[in-house]
Amino acid sequence: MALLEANDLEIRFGGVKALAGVSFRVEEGEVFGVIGPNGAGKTTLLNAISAVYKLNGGSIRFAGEDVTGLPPHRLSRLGIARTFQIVQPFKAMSVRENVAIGAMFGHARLRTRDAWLAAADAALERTGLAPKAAFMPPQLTLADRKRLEVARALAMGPRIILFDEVMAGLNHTEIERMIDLVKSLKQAGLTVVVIEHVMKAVLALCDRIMVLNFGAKLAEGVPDDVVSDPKVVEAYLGQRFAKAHAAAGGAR
Amino acid sequence: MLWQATANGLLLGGLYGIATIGFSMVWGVMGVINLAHTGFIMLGAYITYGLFRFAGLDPIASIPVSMIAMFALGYALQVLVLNRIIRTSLLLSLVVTFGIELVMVDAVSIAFTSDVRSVNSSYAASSIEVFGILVPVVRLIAAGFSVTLGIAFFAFLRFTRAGQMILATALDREVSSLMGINPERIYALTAGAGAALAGATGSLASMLFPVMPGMGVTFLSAVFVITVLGGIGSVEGCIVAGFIYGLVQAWAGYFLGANYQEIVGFGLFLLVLALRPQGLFGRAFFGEHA
Amino acid sequence: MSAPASPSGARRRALLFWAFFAIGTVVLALAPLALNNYWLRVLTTVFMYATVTQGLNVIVGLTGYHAFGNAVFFGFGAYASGVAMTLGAPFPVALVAAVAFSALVAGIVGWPILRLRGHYFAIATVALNLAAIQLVIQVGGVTGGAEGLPLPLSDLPPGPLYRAIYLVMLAGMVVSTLLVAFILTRPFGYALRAIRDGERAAGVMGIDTTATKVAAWAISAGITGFAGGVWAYWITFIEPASAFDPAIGVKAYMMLILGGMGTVIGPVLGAFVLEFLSTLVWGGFLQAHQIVFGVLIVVICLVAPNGMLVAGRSLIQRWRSRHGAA
Repeated sequence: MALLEANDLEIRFGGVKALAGVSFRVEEGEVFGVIGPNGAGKTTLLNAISAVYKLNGGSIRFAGEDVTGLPPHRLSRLGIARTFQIVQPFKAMSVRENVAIGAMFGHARLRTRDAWLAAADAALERTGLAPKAAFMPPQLTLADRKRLEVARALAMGPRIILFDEVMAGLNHTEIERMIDLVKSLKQAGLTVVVIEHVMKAVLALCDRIMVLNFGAKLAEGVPDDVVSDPKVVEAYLGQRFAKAHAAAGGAR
Repeated sequence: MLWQATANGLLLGGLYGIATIGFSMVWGVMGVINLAHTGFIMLGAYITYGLFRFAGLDPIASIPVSMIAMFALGYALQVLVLNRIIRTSLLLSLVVTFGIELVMVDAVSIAFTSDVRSVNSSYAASSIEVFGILVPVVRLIAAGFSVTLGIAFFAFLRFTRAGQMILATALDREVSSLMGINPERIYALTAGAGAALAGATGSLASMLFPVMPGMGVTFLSAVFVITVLGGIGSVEGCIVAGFIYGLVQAWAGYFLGANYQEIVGFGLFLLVLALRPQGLFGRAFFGEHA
Repeated sequence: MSAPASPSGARRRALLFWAFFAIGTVVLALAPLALNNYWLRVLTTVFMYATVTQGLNVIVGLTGYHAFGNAVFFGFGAYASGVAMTLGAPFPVALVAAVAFSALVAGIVGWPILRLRGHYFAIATVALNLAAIQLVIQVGGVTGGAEGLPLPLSDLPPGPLYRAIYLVMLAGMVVSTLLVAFILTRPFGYALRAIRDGERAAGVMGIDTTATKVAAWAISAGITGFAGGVWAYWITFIEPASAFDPAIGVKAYMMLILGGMGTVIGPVLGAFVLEFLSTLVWGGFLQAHQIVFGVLIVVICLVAPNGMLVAGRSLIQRWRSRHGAA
């Protein structure tokens, strides 16, 4: 049984279809990548799953239950956590408090102050933020703020985490560290969805990839097949390059 | 009688429309909710009253005077006060403009006392009859001037360089300042133009309503509702929404009773926000993203 | 940003703060023994505004929603207690009615209005304030409508009565301050601050944002309604224009700005400073006190937009750097 199952998701802004009937399944324990050119609808897809946007059509099942139309806070307690591409820390709270909020409200079972703080400290430890627990968010570097997003999601004790471009804006070393972090989450049994532009990270992490273009699914499969699919190459690099690519026998 | 109420509502609607344009533009361009806007309307009415009473000037002839005076006041207040707090928060602009309104109302109360005054032009009592409906001449004049001024302002925004700069700044302050537009000057220009329209509203209103220090506030809920209904920063929206508001008010008065103005206005306001928060002519605007 | 303070230092400061707070409360509670009527009235007004400002603090300072027309709940509180007393209820019951009715109105109106953000929410609350005036006039009957509502007179002689009202207002200020301090230590307080700093993130982290905001506004309204309820009994005659006067809310806003938003003691400090300031200033300008108040608003917003403590600190810093460097 798939952990997350989306059927025919549709989101409209005015007359524009940002998502035009996208369906996919994420299996328990896998890392599922969503890629696509700018404006393809990747972040919209994530906002649709986490109920930040209201669906105009389609349905979502999580762990076998229909969760379509549930508000964000209900989804989070069922075990769906996410990060934001544009980091949104609570700037008047310390790093530790920021993470504890996730345990306090997003965790299905923790009830006491000690349990919240323990979950927050564990998440800080896992993301390497423990030494900066007492910092205020404006004092953090971008890479640390991205890690703070991950730590907040982890503290919710989720079954699935949706990452919205956690690599964007990071340098090589920072990307390597983040890749290691996501790998460790997979090893710990978490299911992960990554929306990502950094192809190195996508190829290193994902078991399967879905490609979006103009709000619709263009391709889906294991990474090697998907990146050599002429349709995908064309969507990314333009038609002329794709023809040249094919003529040169480019498909590996 | 229903037709009479409808006609009255439509005639007042034009005035409500230009009462709102300045407020809506200031909100749309710089994200300021200007509670002093109704103070400009009140001052415009007193300028017309003063010129009529002490210089015998026809109320219509005093419209340019109150427009120029209010432009200067609006421009000066923007440069001296509002431009300095505009980036800090929504809250400060609300509080500060409320303070400015207090000063204006109290200053007028001291200068003219809070007695009710009126402007009785020679044509004040005359009216013409169309299809059995009595149309008071002053209301017709007010509605005509309102629509003309509204169209003129619309043309100013579309077809002049200054107007284009105002629209560009409303869309994106950062980009427009990269293009060499000085946002603070554009803000002052917008505030001045908005105040000038409010001054004209006051001059016209002085012919229709009793002139008193608190008269501006009676426009406040109309201004809120029309701004939201028309879509923030939309001139054409203000004019259309002004007529709708005038009609709804007239019908509410006809069917429910005279004192339901604020309540019906508030109901309409909530309805618009629930059904179409971007207004009739709405678009994304400064201050409400994310 | 200052470096994170050591836990023991923070605890010592908190202890010191609450010690001062307790001493201050006791001194103020005993003060009527020594005060003349004039200062009794001034201080009662200070407590009233401190309570209204603390109510405003809950929705504006903690939750980040600019309820500019929050004074509407002052009016609802005043009318709820006035109507209850006219119907024969004793003062304490009328106060309960004031708190309950204000909170109820906020709880009901909050569901649609708190979906709005920023500017829209702010003017929706102003519109609510304007509509409430008309509503009371329209309802008429037991509210007295446009003519106003005289409250039943107390059996107490004026001296003890005013001292009793002084103590009730003081209790309002102290209890609402303790309530804000308590909220800040609870998950509810964290939820409010999370909504203020990032509502979208708060939602996906498990906070039921709508319910939390409505609850915050109901608490804010209840506190404000309490002040209105006591005020009605104090002045014994209420009318729509004075009970729903938007200037009450704006004054509270000024006190909140001055004292520091989202802090526990800021509203109280702001109320003391602004009310004493305006009492001193208005003494000299009976004619033009609105002008003076308006100018005061503009000056405060230009000079101390982040509160007097921040303004004072930066003033000291500037003075030091000028004189230290020379």
